[in-house]
Amino acid sequence: MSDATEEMQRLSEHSLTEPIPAASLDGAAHDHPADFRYWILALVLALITMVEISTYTFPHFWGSHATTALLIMGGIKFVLVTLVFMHLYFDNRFLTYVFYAGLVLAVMVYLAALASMHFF
Amino acid sequence: MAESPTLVSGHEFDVHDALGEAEHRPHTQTGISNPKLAMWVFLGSDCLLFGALISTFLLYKGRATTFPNHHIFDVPFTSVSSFVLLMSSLTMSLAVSSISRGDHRNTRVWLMTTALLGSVFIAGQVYEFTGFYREGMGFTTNTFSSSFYTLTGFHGVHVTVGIIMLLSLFILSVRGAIPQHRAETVEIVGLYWHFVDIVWIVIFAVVYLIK
Repeated sequence: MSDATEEMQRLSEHSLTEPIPAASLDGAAHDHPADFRYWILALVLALITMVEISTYTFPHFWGSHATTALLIMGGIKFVLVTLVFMHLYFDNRFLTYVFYAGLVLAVMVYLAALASMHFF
Repeated sequence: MAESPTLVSGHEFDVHDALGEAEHRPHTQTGISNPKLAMWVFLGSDCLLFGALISTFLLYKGRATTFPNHHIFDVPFTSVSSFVLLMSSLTMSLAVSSISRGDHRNTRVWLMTTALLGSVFIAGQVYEFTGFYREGMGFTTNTFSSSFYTLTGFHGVHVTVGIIMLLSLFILSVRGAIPQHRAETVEIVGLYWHFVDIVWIVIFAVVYLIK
């Protein structure tokens, strides 16, 4: 019996009055966040962006910490988008490794390149 | 077999669609479809491309002691563009959410909204580039301008490709060629779109805000 046939049989035997755990579908359905969570995340991202812009409009308030703060806020926005909008938090962990492997490789290579050219 | 939808982790879910998806789901060792995995590998490798462009900009922007330099930027204007692109990620997520529920009408609405927001961003970039050119900042004016146009231009090309993909999805959806069990097609285009957004998050901070 093929995997697909076994899965169809397993689903058909399940009581339709009970919620089907997404995990038991083995990838046929993923746990996705509800829409209101997307709206909340968009609001959070917009607020962080406003704080980022304040480093430009109120430079004296931020002083020498502006660059560090911008890098941290950019990093937070980056991670939030990948986790929620791109579903890395809900999807197969292997995808997180694939993407962040590329990202970490890029950061390491170009930090080394910039260091070799006396950027820092 | 019952026709009514049941719940999967709090969402309405039609067993027939689950069975349909189980039939269409590819049998891979990872349990991840090849197109989705390929998109993630592409995005991982695209980090290297943008890493190279951002590093080049960082290296050259400090060497441009004459006009044009960092002072040419209109940060309030670019902030609005950034906000527009950020909100397009929200509408893209809503499109993916709609198609996974089988809500084709809202899928089309959100896909078109995302494409329009992307177009507004591109229009803003064209306006910005035109303004810079009129102020005397051409592509070969100095190393700052060359690296700036290359970096933001490559990003603009990515956004444009994303808009073409979104419009293609919209047309396919109108023709009924994206049934619910093929929601992953929309999700994969969504991954590309979100990536374009997170790259801009980095570019906006590094290029426009950090002096």
